[in-house]
Amino acid sequence: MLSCRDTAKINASGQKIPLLKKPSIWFHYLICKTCRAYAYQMDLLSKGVRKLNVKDEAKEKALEEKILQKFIKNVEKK
Amino acid sequence: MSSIPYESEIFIQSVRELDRKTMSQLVLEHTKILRRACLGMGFKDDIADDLVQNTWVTFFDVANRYEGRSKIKTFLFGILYNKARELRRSEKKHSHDEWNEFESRFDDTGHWVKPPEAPDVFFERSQNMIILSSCLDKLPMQQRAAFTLKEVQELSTEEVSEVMGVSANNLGVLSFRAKANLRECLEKEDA
Repeated sequence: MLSCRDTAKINASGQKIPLLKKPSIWFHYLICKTCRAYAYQMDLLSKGVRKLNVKDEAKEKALEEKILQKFIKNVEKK
Repeated sequence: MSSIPYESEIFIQSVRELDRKTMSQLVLEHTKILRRACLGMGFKDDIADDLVQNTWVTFFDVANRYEGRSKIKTFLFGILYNKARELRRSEKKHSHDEWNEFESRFDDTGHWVKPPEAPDVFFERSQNMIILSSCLDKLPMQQRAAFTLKEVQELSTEEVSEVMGVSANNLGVLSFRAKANLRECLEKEDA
């Protein structure tokens, strides 16, 4: 059976879980409340950081313009 | 805007010829995500802008050699990641041994010794963007990049591996360490 350490590592690494390993992970979550809490926290982290990624449309637009100008000025002239 | 499919020969050819319409389409479709990835990696607004501009300048320089072996998005992120790494190279290395902190939570048999805190307490804390942001700043560059590209930009494991030039296994370790460190930090902050 998988230990809590193994389950926590597998969860946080975000890698594809081999099919044969899946039942043992599910079983571990079924019996271990602490690992379920840990998995939940890991999921929250990703969601929280996504919220941090503020979209500043005006600055993004200005940057796009700048790059396009640069392309026209420097690259196309060559 | 009508767009040519990225996998097509015509598209690859138009990239190589630096066709204005194709380039405009690429700039408009990718600049935002590149900039957001820079911010996610911890660069300030103006530095993020510079990095993205440099990424495009390099792309325009090497576009004539583009063979379509990797997706344009992966190709661009690859350039961006290398630029970001160059910029961060001068910064001092993290000496913090994050691995021990994770291991100390388990006993020899692999069971929890120090279980994670209650989900509701943690939830409130992870909603506190100031704490979360300061914890993100403490992550080493590679871990932060792995975390940002995979979890925030939602690139696939294969794409992030290609961008960062690491194996899928290594990426798993980086991702795991980033998340483990982030949650350790959140738990410690204002504890």
